[in-house]
Amino acid sequence: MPFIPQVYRIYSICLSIIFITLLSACSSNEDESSYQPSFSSQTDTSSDIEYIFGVHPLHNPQRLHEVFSPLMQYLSKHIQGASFKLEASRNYAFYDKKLYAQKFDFALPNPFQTVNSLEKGYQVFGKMGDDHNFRGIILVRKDSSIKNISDLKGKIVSYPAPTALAATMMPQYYIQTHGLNVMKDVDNRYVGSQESSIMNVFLKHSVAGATWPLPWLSLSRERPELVDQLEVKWQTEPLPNNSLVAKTSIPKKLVSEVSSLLFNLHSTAEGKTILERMELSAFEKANNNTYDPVIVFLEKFSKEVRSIK
Amino acid sequence: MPKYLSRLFYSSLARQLIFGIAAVHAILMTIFVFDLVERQRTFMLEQSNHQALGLAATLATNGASWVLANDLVGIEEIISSQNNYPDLRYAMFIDNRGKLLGYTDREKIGLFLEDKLSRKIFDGNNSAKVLIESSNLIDVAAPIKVNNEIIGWARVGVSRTSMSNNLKLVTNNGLIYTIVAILVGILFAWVMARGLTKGIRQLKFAMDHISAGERDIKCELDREDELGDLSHDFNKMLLTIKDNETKIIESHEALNLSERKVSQLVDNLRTEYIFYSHDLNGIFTYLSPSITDVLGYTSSEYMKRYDTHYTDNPINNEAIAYTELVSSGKKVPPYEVEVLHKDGRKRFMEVTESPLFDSSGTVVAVEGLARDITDIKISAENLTKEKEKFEREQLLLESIINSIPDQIYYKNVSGQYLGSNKSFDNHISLTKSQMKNKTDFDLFPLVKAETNKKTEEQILLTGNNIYKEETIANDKGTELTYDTLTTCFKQSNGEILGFIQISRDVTELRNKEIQLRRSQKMDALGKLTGGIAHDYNNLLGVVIGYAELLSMSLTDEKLKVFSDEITKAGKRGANLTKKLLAFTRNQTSSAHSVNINEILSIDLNMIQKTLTARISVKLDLDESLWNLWLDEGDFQDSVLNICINAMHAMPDGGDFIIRTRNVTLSESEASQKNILPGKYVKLSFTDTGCGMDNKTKEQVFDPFFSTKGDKGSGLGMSQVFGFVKRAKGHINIYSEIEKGTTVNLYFQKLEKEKKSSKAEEIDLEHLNGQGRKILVVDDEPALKALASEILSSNGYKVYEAESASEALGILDHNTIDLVLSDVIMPDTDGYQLASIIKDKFPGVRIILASGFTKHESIKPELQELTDNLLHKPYSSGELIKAVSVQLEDA
Repeated sequence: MPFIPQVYRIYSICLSIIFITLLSACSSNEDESSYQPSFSSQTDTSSDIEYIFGVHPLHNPQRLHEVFSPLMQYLSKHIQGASFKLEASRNYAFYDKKLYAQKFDFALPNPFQTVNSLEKGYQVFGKMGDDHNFRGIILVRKDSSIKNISDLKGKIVSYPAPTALAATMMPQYYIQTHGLNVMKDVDNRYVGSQESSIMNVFLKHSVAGATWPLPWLSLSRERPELVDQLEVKWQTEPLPNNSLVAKTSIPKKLVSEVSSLLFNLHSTAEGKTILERMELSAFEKANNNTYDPVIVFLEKFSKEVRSIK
Repeated sequence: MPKYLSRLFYSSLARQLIFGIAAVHAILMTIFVFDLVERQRTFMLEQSNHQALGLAATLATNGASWVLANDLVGIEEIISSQNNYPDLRYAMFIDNRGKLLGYTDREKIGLFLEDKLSRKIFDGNNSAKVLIESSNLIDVAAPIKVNNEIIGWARVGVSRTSMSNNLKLVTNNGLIYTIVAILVGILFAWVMARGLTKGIRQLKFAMDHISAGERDIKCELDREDELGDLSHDFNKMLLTIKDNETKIIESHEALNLSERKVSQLVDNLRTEYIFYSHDLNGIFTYLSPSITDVLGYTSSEYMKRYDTHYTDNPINNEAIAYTELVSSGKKVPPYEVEVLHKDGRKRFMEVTESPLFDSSGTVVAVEGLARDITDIKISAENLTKEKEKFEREQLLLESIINSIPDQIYYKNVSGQYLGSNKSFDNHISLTKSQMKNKTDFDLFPLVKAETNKKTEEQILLTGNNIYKEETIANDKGTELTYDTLTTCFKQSNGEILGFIQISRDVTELRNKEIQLRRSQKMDALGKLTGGIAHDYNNLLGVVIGYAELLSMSLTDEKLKVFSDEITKAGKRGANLTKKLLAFTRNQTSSAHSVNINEILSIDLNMIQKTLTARISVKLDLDESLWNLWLDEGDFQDSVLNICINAMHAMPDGGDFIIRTRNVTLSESEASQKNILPGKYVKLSFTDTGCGMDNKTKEQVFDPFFSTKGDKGSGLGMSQVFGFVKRAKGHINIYSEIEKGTTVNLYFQKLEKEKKSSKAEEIDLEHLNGQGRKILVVDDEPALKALASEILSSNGYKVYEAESASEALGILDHNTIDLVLSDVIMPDTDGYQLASIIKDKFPGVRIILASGFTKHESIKPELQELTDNLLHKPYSSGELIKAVSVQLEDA
């Protein structure tokens, strides 16, 4: 075969292959192009009933999940036919909103929210122990010039949220009752969470930050430099700790099972581990009346500091 | 490929080129576009993947808190924030059960995912996963993890339609570019093909015409590329083809002619030729019919191996070797073999063989031509002998011609030299090969060549020999005289074939003739003047002698004055005769050893004054100049005479150079000058005057010849000539008109000092004869009486005789002490008398007295008499002194 015609033959074959390839590359799968997910309204196929357990923003959601998920798993594991799902809230306002809208089946509100939830279809079936820890503390930097409450005048003081009882209201009442008009003499900043209130002081965004012991202990453990640079300057008198509430529509049996598990956590190794993560020694029984002191405080606070409605 | 397409394609280079370029463009562009699109696609898909995964992961991260908080609002906000995400088809947050916590379509929130694809999320793999990846959609789900616990999933579906469209656009654009490139390439190829194939078409056109038989066509492509080279080479090839075709045609014609000739030749081979061929085994395959005539065999009888009928002659061995070489394809010279004739005679054959090759160059046969050279050999042997004899005779003739000193040459009728002898070759200074076919016009000056030509033409006309004498200047400018005979040589029918010339150098002979004539002339003049001078001297001798005697005897002072005047006049006359005798060789000489450099240096002032201030005098003297035996007075007179002539030749001034050199003359050089070979002193006088013509040169030494009219005596150069000859020297003159003259004098080197005369040592005042007996012999009575008177008055006893015979008679009877004899006497001259006296009376002293002396006839034993000759006219004192000297030695 002559050389030149052979070359042209090869050219032709190459061209054909290339064109075929191009053509094939141009084609597309029509089926997938129009895909849309399909849904159904099927209920949970699981036999377990899921109960929403709303914990107020003791921590940020991730921290909250970290602390309280083991408890939810514990409860889910030990109560047949029920699964417990932790639900955090972006902030106290949203938590309040969800709580008061009975979004939660079970909840761990703070005492203020507890009191309010009683009117929203919840009842107290237990509480966190260690009431002595449910107090407000005011942190300042060790190198700051804040020595007296009066030194806070005109300064910024950070708080988690307006409705945080131990971390906000109780410190504000303390300041109010120790020489300052907290609402006028102090620049109150509500920074959203306990940690945020502490970090504001550390970062000198505020001269003082209010929180309560558990978040302070928890965070300072994680970040030793906080202990080195911050100190608890003032602390309030304690009040009953955060409560355990359930919607009144939750079967009592379930509430009882939950209560039993919670109140005996401290007696098991697994439970101790869970409680330790919470910085809590134990849950204990409680009812609506347990929080009467809180009501009294709230009334005094409303009257002397600010309205809480 | 369908045949018509194949034909369409392969039938045109242009189409092939166009297709080729188009194909290259297409392939390259296709590959480029494909690669580009694929890369783009891959990149975009990857980007899309990454973006989708990134979006899902971002949503998962951002939504973790909201999912934890079951904050549907927050979740919705997060999803809403992605509404502007390009091509986002859907985004959702789902919990671990597949419940929608958030979705781009709010209405679906709270529903559960049910499609199979969606359920893949919960297949146990807790990492981000791609649920759909197609050209139009990518669906990815990322787990929402909190503390490594999956609390839900964030899922996004991003449409890739725009990407696909973009890719399609890119692909389409690429295809368009490809097509454009192909079209452009095709256009370019078409243009190029046209340009390229134009030249090819032109070449094809030319080739078509060449195929049709035209040969005068040319393809001139005016381009500098390969086609231009191709057309140039094509034209060259065409020329070569044309030439080759012409040669082939000619060769064919020649071959055909040759074949015909060979065929004729072979058929008509004469009785001595055999044409044959044999195979490589030596077996004849063809023998021409002439073999019968040559060797007596028929062709068929001889069709055997070639050496079948070879004799035992050793030359056949060499022949066999040659044949073997030819059989191997080599060329061999003709060789001889000896074969047997059918009748038994031995025949010599000259064989010329050559190999025959096939088209592949392999030797396939040998063919040859054999010639019976038996008779030729015999003739050749005879011829060789004749030739050797002829060559011997030729050599002898050549030797004879070359031994002849005369110059011999011969030419053809056109005047071209055919040959010459050695003498002529040496004269012309050319070799035979250089001379061959040259003419006189090539070898000689025009004048001579034309003279020769006229001579040859005359011979052609008359057929007679021509004799002539010619003078030719050689390359040194010396004029040589030749006697020339020019003749012709003819064929037997009388036709003149050429010319022969024989030239003899007679220069020396002519010079000797001139010298001889001059010498004879001078001798004749000398005899004449000598005779006159002799007689005149005798008379003067009487006058002077008696005047002196008279003066001695007079007491009257006034009368003494008169006698003194007579004496003076007599001496003036004696000087005149001396001059007359000077140009002859007959004057007596007072020679002694001299160095002429010293004389010239001393006389330089005199020479300068003689030449006057307008002439510059320069001496160029050889510092080691040899001594000479010369009469100093005569030498000075000669120098003076030459200077006077030079002065007259330079009336307006000039230069005068006197040069001395030691020279050695060879036999030939001396012979030309008519002197003996040996060592000489050469004295040259060169002036820058008007010069002399040949006629004047020939007469310059003649007595009384003068160019100065009445102002010159004409004796100056004669005197110089006489002086040089007496000194056994030579004189010659070179002169050119208006250039100047050189006079060269040659004097023999003095080898041995000669004895000087003792006469000068004698004290003349106390001379007395004391009665010594002196015989005075003179045929002149007055001179005899005078001499007797002078001698007797000085105490000598004097006897007188008038002839030699009378003198001998007196000697026989008297004891004589001294004989004073005249030389020139009738019958017996003084020398002859002296010779007799020496024999018979050896004790007698002899003095000869004369005005001149013939040197040639003087015997060597009488040379002393010449050296001591008493010159006439002599004074009484000179006589007494000479006598006293002789008697003193006795």
